[in-house]
Amino acid sequence: MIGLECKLLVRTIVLIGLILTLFSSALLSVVSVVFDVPEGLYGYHSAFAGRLNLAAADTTIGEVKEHAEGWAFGVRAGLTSDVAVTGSKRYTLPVCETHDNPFPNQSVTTAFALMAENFVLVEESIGFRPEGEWPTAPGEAAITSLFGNSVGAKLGDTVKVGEREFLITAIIDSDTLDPDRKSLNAMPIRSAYLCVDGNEQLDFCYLGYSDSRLLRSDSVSLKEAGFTVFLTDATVAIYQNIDLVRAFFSAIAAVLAITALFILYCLIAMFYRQRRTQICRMKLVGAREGTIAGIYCTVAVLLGTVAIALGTAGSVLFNLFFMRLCSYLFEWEFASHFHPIVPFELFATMVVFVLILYAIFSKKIKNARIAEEVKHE
Amino acid sequence: MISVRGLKKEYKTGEASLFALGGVSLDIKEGEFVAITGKSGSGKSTLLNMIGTLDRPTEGTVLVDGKDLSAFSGKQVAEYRNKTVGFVFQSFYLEPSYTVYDNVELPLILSGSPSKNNRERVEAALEAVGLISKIKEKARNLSGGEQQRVAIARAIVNDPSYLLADEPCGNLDTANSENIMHILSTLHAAGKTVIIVTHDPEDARKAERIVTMSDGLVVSDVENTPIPAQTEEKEVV
Ligand SMILES: Nc1ncnc2c1ncn2[C@@H]1O[C@H](COP(=O)(O)OP(=O)(O)OP(=O)(O)O)[C@@H](O)[C@H]1O
Ligand SMILES: [Mg+2]
Repeated sequence: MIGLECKLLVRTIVLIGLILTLFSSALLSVVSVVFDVPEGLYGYHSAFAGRLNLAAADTTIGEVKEHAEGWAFGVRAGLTSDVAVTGSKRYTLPVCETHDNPFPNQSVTTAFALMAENFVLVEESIGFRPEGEWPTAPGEAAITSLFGNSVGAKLGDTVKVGEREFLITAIIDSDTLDPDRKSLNAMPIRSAYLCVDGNEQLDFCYLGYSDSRLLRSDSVSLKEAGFTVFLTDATVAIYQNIDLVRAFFSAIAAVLAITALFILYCLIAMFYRQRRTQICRMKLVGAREGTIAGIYCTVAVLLGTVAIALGTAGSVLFNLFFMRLCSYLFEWEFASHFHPIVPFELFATMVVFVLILYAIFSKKIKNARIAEEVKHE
Repeated sequence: MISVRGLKKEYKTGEASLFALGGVSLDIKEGEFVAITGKSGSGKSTLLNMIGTLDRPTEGTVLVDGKDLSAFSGKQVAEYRNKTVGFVFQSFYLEPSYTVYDNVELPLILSGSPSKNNRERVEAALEAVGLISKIKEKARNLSGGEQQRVAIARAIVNDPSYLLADEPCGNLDTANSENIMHILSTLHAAGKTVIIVTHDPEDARKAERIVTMSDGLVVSDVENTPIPAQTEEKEVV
C-alpha cells in the first residue's frame, strides 16, 4: 500500500519541499523576532539568523563607534593562505573574530581567534593538552597545530595581529582532545588564541565571517570588558535601522507563513479529492480514519524526508536571495553560513506538518460519505 | 437478524425536502435471501446503505443482532463493516491498481488477523467465486464479471453473516449476471443472509423473499420459491 502511494506521489515531494522551505524560513524569522534567540540555536545560515545577531547587538548600538580603518585588508580570512608569513616568522592575522574567555582561570585574558569556519574554545577542562604552556600573560598566544603546520609556526615564534605581537607559548593539537569531546570539537581549525589585557582598547578586534562582517552576539560581552567593537558601514547601517530590519523580517515571516499554510491546505485538499474514492473503498471494508490517515501520513513522512533535501537547498538559496536583496536595497550585510542544523530544523517542521496533516485528514476521512461515493463511481 | 423500525431518511435540497425513506419497517431473519425491488428512486439503495452504516437515518432505528447501529462508535462501525457485513456494488468498487489477492486480503489486514492465515482465507474466498486462477492479476485487467466476483470474494473473506448487494448485476450481461446470482445463491445455501437490491425481476426471483418499494415505502413483501440454483459452474466468456 505504502509503496504504491510513493510511486504515485513523486511530484508532491516538490510541493512539500517548497512548503518546508517557506515555512522553515518563516519559522526562523518568527522565532528570532519573538524570542531574540541567541545565535547558535538555529544556526546562522540565513538572513533570519543574521537577524538574531542584531537582536543581541541591539542593546549596544549606542556605543558603536565608527567603522574600522583596519578593514582595508579586505581579505577573506580564515584561510591561512591569506596570512602573510614574513621572513622573521611573524604572522599577520588580517581579520579576527572574538570569543568568550577561553581561559577561565585568568581574569584579564581574552582570546581572539583567527577567523575560521568552525572554532572551539580552548580550555584545559575540555581536554586539550597543549604542547608548551598555556598563555598566562598579555602578549602570549596559543595556536592550533593546524594553523601552526599551515604556516610553519613553532613555539617561541610571534604572531602579529594589527600592530600587536604575541608570543606563541602553546600549540594545541585537536588530537589531544578527550575522545568523548571530539564529536563536538573535532573540526580542524586554524586559530590563534591571544592573551590580552581585558581593559585594553584593541584596534585589531574586527568582527566577521568569511563573506560578511556581522557582529557576533558573544562579542557583545566583550564591550563590557572594555573593548571597542568596530563595525563596517554596512553593519552599522543595520543597527541604525534596527526597527526597520525587525519590521521587514516580521513582514516576510508573516507572508511566508501564510503562503506555506495556504499551500499546505491546498495540498491536503487536492490530495483528499484525488484519494476520496480510495479512502471510501477502505472505509467500506472496515478501515478507521486513523488507520487511513496513518497510511497517508507514513507516505507523507517518507516523501517529506526526501523533500527535506530539496527544502534544505531551497531554504539556503531562498535566504541567500533575500540577503542579497537586502544588501542591494538597504546596504545591509548578513551572515550567510549554512549550518548543519538546517535539515533538523526542517525535519522538525515536517513533523509539525505531518501532525497537522493527520488532524485535518482524519477529520476529512471521517466525514467522507461512502454512500455518495458509491453512487458517483 | 436485522430489524428495521420506522426508518426515515430526509434529503434537504435548498427549500425542498424529499423523503427517500418514508418510514420503513422490516425484519430480515438469519439465513434469508431477500431481494429488494422497485422503481428507480424508490429508496432501495438508501435502505441498504442504512443497514450497512454507509448512511445515517433521519429517524428510526436499524437493529442488527439486537444492536442499534446508530449507537455505534466509530470503532464499532468500522468493525461492523469489516466483520458483520460484506458489500457488493454495481460498480465493483475494487482498488484497480491492486492485485486480486491484495483486494481480497484488505479486509483481513484491517481486521488485524495474523497474516500467515490470510493466504489460505483469500484463496478459499476466491475458490468460492471461481477466480483462483486470476489471483495475481491486477483488478483493472479483469472483465466486469470477474471484477464483481472479486468484490464478492472480498465481501465474504472475513466470513460476515450478512451480504449486502446493491444491483450486483447492474453492469453485467446476462451470462455474467446469472453467474453472480448463482454465486449469491450458493452463499445463501451455505448459510449467509443475503440482501440484494435489484430492479431485474429475473434476478429477484432467485430470492426467497421479494420486498417491493415505492416512494420510500415498502409496498409489498412476499415469499418466493426461488428458481433452484444451477448446480454446475458456468464458465463465463
Ligand atoms: N445524497 C442525496 N441527496 C439528495 N437526494 C438524494 C440523495 N441520495 C438519494 N437521493 C434521493 O433519494 C431517493 C432514493 O434514492 P435511492 O438511491 O435510494 O433510489 P434507488 O431506489 O436505489 O434507485 P435506483 O434504482 O435508481 O438506484 C431518490 O429520489 C434520490 O434522488
Ligand atoms: Mg440504487
